[in-house]
Amino acid sequence: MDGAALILAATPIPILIYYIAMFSDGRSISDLFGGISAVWGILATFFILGGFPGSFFFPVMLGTSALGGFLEYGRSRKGWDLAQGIILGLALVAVVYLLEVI
Amino acid sequence: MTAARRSGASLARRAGLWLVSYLVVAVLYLAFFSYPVQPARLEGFTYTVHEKVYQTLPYTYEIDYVSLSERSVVVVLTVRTISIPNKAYSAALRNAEGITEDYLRQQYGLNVDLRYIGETTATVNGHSAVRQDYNVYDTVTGPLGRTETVLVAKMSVLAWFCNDNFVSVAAGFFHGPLADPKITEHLRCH
Repeated sequence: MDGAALILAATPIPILIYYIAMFSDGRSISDLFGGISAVWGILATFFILGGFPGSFFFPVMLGTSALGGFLEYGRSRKGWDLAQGIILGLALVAVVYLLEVI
Repeated sequence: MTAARRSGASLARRAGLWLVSYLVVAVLYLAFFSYPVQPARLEGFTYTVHEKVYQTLPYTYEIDYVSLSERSVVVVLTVRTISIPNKAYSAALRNAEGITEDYLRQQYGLNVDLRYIGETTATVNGHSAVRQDYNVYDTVTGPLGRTETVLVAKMSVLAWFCNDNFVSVAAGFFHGPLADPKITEHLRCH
């Protein structure tokens, strides 16, 4: 396996560590989904190596994090959680649009 | 400690950890894009080969294959990238027309006119590649002083993503109008 692929697979690990630390502090749904999104980022590299289309990578990552923001807002009613869901949701729409248009 | 002060300290810790995490991610991406590539190659041709590291970020390796007898030139660029959709390759390759015309004008003083023929999908080493074909015209003056536009060469450009080693490959081949070397079948990801 190309060493670069291993480096790429490792890029979400710091984010995963961050979300594990945050989740253990506050048990927030958005931190849990952020962690899931980071795990997806690690697995996706190996899926792409196996021939899986790379266009799924960012939409699934952003979609998972956006969903975490909305679910956390449903529980906490904090504006920041809603903002996270909306911002990441808009980023998801932008990525899907770019993948279709480019 | 008051609740407000505790909340402020927690927010500062969260922001600090977030910043450090994303800085490490940025460093890892930098390492990924600058990681040397195993260059894509053209196999089975006895062309003269010139190769060099074109740039190190993103890491790009260039191999030029030249056959003076067949008047063919094949340029293969291997670039370290993440997965890129074919639509992006298609858009990028449409710049080949202007780039080639400018290059030939500046390097060799040739005022050729590249005309886009069309785009197809080709299979290269088991990967789906975007292929664009061009005719190359030159304006020449005949013995009676009459100027004519004649087809002097053909050019094809291809681009694809090699998922097994995370590189994008761009290949361009330039050959005489009557030659038809089967380049596509001889390109390999590494």
